[in-house]
Amino acid sequence: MTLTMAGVLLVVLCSVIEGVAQVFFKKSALVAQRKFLWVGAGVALFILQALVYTGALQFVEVSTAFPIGSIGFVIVAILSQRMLNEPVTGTRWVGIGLIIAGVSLLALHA
Amino acid sequence: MVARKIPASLVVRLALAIALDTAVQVLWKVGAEQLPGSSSIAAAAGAALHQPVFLLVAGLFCWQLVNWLRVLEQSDLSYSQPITSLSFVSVFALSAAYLGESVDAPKVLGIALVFAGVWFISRTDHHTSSGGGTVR
Repeated sequence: MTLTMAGVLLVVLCSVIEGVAQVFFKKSALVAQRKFLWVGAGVALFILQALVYTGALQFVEVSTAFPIGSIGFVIVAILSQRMLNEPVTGTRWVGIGLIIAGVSLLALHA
Repeated sequence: MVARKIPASLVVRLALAIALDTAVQVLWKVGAEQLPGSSSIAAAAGAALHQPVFLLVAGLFCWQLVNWLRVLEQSDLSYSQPITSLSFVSVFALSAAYLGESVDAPKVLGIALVFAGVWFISRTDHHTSSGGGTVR
């Protein structure tokens, strides 16, 4: 595995960690008690994500990492559907796809 | 309830989330340019602690978290999170207006695609409440 590939995988890992953190934040809004536990777990994951992202930038350029990171929208949609039973319809997937295309264009021409 | 109309309070909180995200990103960039060149992440982090702009960024982060938790109390995660991608557009607009960065056809197309994506998502069914608690 090349160092660049390792960097790309770390960026993908960051998106997964951020997606789980967002689910934890949403869980805090859904439960009646111990909300702070979900918030604390989410914040801890955000800090972990920042550390992993810093490591990833040792191997890949920001202009590469940024558009790859937009797959976080897909990961959040999948996790929301599976773990939170949210209605993620075809129209929403079209919207997410358009956003990823737009963000990628902006990042590639930054 | 499953709805397509967005409560006004949620619109305000989503707008605040986008504004705070934009402010954090722009101030972070300004602060990073003020840091002295250093060879390690630890040294850079130490220098950042002495920069007032980074303390401001930390404060905005906390505000952002509190506001975001309120957004999630009112709406689906898979609905609100993509909408905050509008901060990419606002950051590019501010960069072009105040930092002299170029605006070309691919960037305009990228912004148009983000707007189109957010519009599509705003048209989907979603669980929202007008404030306070959750509906499920």
